[in-house]
Amino acid sequence: MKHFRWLICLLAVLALVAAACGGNDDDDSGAPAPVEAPGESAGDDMDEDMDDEDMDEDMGDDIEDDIDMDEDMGDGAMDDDMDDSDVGQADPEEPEVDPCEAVDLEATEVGITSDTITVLVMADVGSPLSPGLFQGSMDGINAWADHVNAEGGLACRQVEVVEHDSAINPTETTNGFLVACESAFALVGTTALFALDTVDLQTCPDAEGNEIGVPDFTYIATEPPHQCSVVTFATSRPNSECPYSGSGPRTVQSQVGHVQWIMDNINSDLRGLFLVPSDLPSTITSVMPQVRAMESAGVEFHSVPGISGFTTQSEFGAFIQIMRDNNSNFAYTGSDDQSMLKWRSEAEAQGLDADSIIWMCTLSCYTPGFLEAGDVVEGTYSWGWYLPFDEVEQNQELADFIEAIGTDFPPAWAAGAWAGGVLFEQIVNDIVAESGPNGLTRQAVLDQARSVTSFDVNGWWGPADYSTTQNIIPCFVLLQVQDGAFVRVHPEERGELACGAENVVESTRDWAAEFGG
Amino acid sequence: MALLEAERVVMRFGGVVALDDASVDVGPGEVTGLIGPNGAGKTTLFNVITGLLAPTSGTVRFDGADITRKSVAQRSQLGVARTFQKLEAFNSLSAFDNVRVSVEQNHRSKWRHRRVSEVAHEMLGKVGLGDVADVTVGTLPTGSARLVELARALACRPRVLLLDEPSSGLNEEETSSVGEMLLELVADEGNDLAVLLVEHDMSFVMGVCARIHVLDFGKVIAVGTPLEVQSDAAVRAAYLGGDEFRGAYAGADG
Amino acid sequence: MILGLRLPVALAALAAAVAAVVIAVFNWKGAPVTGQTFLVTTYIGLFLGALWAMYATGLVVVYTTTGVFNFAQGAIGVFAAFLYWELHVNRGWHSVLALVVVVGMFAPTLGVLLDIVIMRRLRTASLVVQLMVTVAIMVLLLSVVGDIWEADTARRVPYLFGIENGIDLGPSQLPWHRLIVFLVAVAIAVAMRYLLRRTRIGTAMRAVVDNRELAALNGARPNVVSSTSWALGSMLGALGGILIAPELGLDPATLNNVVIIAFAAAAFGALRNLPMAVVGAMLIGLLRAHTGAWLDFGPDYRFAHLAIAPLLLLFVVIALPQARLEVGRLAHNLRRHERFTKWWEGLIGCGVIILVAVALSGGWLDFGVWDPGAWGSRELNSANEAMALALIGLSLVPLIGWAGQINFAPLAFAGFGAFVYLKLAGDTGNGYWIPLVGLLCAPLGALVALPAARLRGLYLALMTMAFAQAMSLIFFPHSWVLPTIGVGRQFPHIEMFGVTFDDRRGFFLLIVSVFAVFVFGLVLLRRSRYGRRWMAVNDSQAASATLGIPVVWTKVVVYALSAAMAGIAGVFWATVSGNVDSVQGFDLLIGFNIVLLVAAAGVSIPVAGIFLIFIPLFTGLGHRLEDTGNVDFLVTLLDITTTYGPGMLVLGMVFNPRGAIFEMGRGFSPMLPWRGDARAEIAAENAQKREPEIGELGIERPFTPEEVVALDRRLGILDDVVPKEGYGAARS
Repeated sequence: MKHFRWLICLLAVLALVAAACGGNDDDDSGAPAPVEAPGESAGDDMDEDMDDEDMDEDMGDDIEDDIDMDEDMGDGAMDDDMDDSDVGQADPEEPEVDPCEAVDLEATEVGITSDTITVLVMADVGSPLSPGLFQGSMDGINAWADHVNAEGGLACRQVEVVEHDSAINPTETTNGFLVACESAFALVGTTALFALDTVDLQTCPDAEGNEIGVPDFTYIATEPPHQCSVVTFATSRPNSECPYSGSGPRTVQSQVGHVQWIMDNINSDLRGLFLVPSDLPSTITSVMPQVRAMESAGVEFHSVPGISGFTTQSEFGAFIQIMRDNNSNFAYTGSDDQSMLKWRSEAEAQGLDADSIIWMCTLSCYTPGFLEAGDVVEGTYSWGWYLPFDEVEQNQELADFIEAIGTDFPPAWAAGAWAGGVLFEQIVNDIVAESGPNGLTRQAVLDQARSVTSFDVNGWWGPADYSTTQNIIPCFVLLQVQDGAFVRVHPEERGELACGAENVVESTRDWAAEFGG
Repeated sequence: MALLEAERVVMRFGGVVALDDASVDVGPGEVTGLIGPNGAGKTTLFNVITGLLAPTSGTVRFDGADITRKSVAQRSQLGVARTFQKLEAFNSLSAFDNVRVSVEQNHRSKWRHRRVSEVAHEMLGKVGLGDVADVTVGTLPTGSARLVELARALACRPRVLLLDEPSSGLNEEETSSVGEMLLELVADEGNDLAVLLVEHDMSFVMGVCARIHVLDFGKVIAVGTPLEVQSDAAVRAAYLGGDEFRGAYAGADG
Repeated sequence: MILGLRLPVALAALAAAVAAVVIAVFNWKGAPVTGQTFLVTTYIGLFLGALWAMYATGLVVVYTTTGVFNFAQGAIGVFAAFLYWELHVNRGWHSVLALVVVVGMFAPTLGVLLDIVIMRRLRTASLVVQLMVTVAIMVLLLSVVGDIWEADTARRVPYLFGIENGIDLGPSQLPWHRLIVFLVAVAIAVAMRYLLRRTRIGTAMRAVVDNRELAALNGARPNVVSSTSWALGSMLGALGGILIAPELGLDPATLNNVVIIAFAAAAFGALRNLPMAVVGAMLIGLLRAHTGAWLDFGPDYRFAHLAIAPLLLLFVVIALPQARLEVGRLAHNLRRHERFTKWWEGLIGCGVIILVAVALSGGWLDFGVWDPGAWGSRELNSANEAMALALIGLSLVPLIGWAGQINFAPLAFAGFGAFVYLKLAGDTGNGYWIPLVGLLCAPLGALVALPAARLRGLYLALMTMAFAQAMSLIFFPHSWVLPTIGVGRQFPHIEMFGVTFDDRRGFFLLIVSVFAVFVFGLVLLRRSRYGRRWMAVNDSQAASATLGIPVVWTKVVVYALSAAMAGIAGVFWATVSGNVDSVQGFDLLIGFNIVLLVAAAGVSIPVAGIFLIFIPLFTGLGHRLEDTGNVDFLVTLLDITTTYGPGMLVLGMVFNPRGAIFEMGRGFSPMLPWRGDARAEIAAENAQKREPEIGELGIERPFTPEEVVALDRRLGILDDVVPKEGYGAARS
């Protein structure tokens, strides 16, 4: 083609133009809410957190508790849903005081200026293998920041969000930590699969040069370097003993309440299969404890096979066959929604009576995409540790989240990221309550975070103890696909989670050796 | 005694018989010719002799020894060198490097007491390409590239030299100088060198070769001196006959 | 001969069978062996086999009718599957309509476009170029798919024929969809065979590949025929993609990996034999299904069942008959005087490389309009990773650039080097072990090359791919090879000359120095007799052999060298982050991009060296750009360049098969659209060597075979009776 070179030239020019008009979204995408004018008044009362009154009433939720809800609930001022306007409503006697105006705000730390707090959200978004994967986390943090700013900001400042794409790449993930070290106060909502090197994260120098690290309120922590980082507080509760060399026994907690309830209320004799995601050693070792926990509750597994992303649906036929041979009635997958989908589809293809099986999935099935598969997934159980997205009327925090994220059924990582944001927010507010808006330093955040022993995202989630890495949220809600929608099964009342120490099983074993053993 | 013999070679490619009981012998100290119409099997015979093709049946003998099972490299070690009908020069190397590769490969066995670059220059000089030594062969005209191939083959210090249409792409002057060079070579080397030559240029062949084999449809149809071959009826039929063009050739000499 | 196989092959097959039985016994799962299970497993295996047979059919058809081994066959299927999803699921078109549009309209159009724009120009190009271009197309298609359909939602393609109902097989059932697909796949294979062997158009398609001139004389129009071939191959790929997507889920990487299985199946049929390719596909399917049903390999070998296809490919490569020495091809765009870098120039070059790297990273260079400043941790981190990749890329230069051999497994060799280093140096990070690592990696390269070096370059390329895949699936996930990731570093910081390179800047300078040393070494090598010999073998294997050069051994040595360099590079690659994920870290896909880049960079050492090191420097500068400059659009351009760059560059090879960058040696002028005069100059140079095709002579009347023979006898217009692939040797 004679004109091929012209075509190439044209394409190159178009690319340049597109690039120029596109541009990188590396800055804060949220429109900053109007900032209260910094006050000149000499008032020093920094109690931005007005109401120590019972949050529960405001939230309108009731968390069914068998364990002591921590005092922190009452102590900690969870004020994210309180706008300054609430001040007037809650306590009509006090004149409206804007404590932010009373203080000269300073830049007290990296990522903090007199009017902004910068947080960095890192997520695997731009990988060529799975483009757009965890975009939801960035959306979640942006939504959270917008929400906070609209309600008056945080520590008298506006929250700015910097995005970093880790692209399922270990080097890029380390870069994210480096960027955060230099320019952000904290990491919030991190959702990166390959955080393999956290040295920089943990030894980042603060404004005074102390190598204390960057506070990291991540959603997931998949590998020991991230799980055991002393500055990481993961909302997904990887519940892993630290330090850990990578091999050998490890103490892990697992949830069994859901299966126990099924055994108590539906069928006491559960026997079947548990699919283990075997792509990485870490996926194996994080799921195997659940297998043993269920067995300790009385479930019998005929087979615990490993599956990977490359397993074709027809290869699930082997599992169907095992189920037939052993008369199984329980099918649990520790992998993603695709695995359950393939499993059920194959069962249908092979004429297995789906109604005789209790199909169960982790939280990863709780997605609209799963429901779109239609009849084939009817009756599948799923479970989580926070209130389902449709219960906005039962929890204010959840309502705020759903409204801010802009969709009724967001991805789980958006919720996890938001939770990280709220945790960060609460900690900041606690610090401000004690030392004022100029008391914000990374050290203070780390100290405060390490003292959080019960945090429940304002009642939306089950409570978690962030002072240690080794615990899970002892609550669950059991859901089931009924008529094409997720319906809660237990607890029956909306807005409730089933919590209790008996839901948790702790065990110490060499989990890699347990697989295939 | 013949330095090189191909005895009753049969070469079959599926249903096609490329060589049908062909026998050829090449004596030392002389240039032997191999002629025939296109597609007669001349290059195929070369390929069998040098080992690039394994014959369906038949024997190849070098200096009395059976080399039919020997590999290409082994035959090269013994002293069988060739040029190709379809140019197989090293196009991305210079003329000098083309020859140098050959010298380096055979240095220890054939040129032990001489320096590589010296030998390479000498070989290039023999074919008259001394002044384009640094030119990339791929940019040279076909005729010169063929001469490079020739020099490369000579650099193997062969005992049997198989040349496949060396004059293709050369003008009259160049062709005759190649002919002279060949005659010089065999005269210098005496009983140590035999040359087998495939050619279409009849005057070249008749002028240089002592003996000529004629191949047609894979069979040797005539062997003899140039004069004998020229007057052979079978040869004339092969080159000029053919029913389909009878009318067109009606006026040609019979 | 036993069963039609030569003795050594029969022995190897026997050994493989025995090994298989032993493996099976040791890994028996203990599941009850019932007729029911066996039946179900078998039908699943046949069904999977049918899916792969569809891809293999497409591959074989394209290869026999165009002479090009189409790496992008799977990617075409991926694109078609996504497009089908878009039309049928997302927009609600009827499934049949969507199918017709995608397979009947989009696919052939794509195929014809590919042929006209790209493939036609590759006819006389070397194998390296052909393969690289199809790999580039694959990468580009996948990138486009990823950009159009983002991964944030899971997508499913529904079963074409429904899956709820089927034939009863005892308590189990065989769904209609699977039965129909199986029959369709077999029918297509049969139809293609019939088409190729028994119809005029099929014969014409094959003839055009075997002997284009003869075909033209016989009245075929080669250009039309090859476009038809590509259209057909594209349609087969599209259909395969749509049918396999319900099984695997709609994910580009997963769907594309199927091609490796298709390659193995096609290789089973020696790339030309369609029935055997189908048999191969079925064999793989059955093996996979049955190993899944009866065997359990344990956690260390948990991906072993996926390795069946690459292992089969390896076996096929070993079993195939002896090599044919390839005929030479005309090299393009040669300069009249090739100038090779002198040794002292190489030395200076090294110094310059080191100096520039130091200056840029230290922030000493000020461009006037923009002062980048010193590189911080982030720039150095990214640059280090890119440098390690560049080092791995450098290992490919002697292989691809000089010897014209293809290697898709540089990451596998690098990973092996990292593993050897770990075993040798342990916790100490003693850098003096590194040269030994190189030495120990060389045999691995030789081992990989040995079976396939006897064969055509294409098999060699496939074999390296199979090797890389097998390493990723069997070797690297093994817990003995790479320790599981803990809080510490798997790979300790390197210590050498009394220095511990635990800071990024120092490490950067170390890698750059190693790179410079490698470049210098390659310059020396190029000027040596080995460099000449490799280029000679590259130019003409047949001629090299007749000079006494051991062709196979020469190829093996280059592979050994490449493996040694890659192994050393692997040590640095692993040390950059300290922890390497066993599954993803040495993945085949990363290798593709590097290979593309090196192929595009071309054969010249200085050019390749500069090009390869340009990338890390560019990366580092790019990050500085983000931080200090207000040039967002340049950053986006950087993103686009990194994603699409390698692919586009290689496509540029269509015009200059010696390397797109090489063309810059001629100055930019020929590349500019308005410099037709520069191109005319080049064309004139080439015209001297290139003869017009008979098909281009404008001869109207088709000649009968007898006329052709008669003409040839007198005029010598056809090639001699030698198979196109080259000379089959007695022994090589």
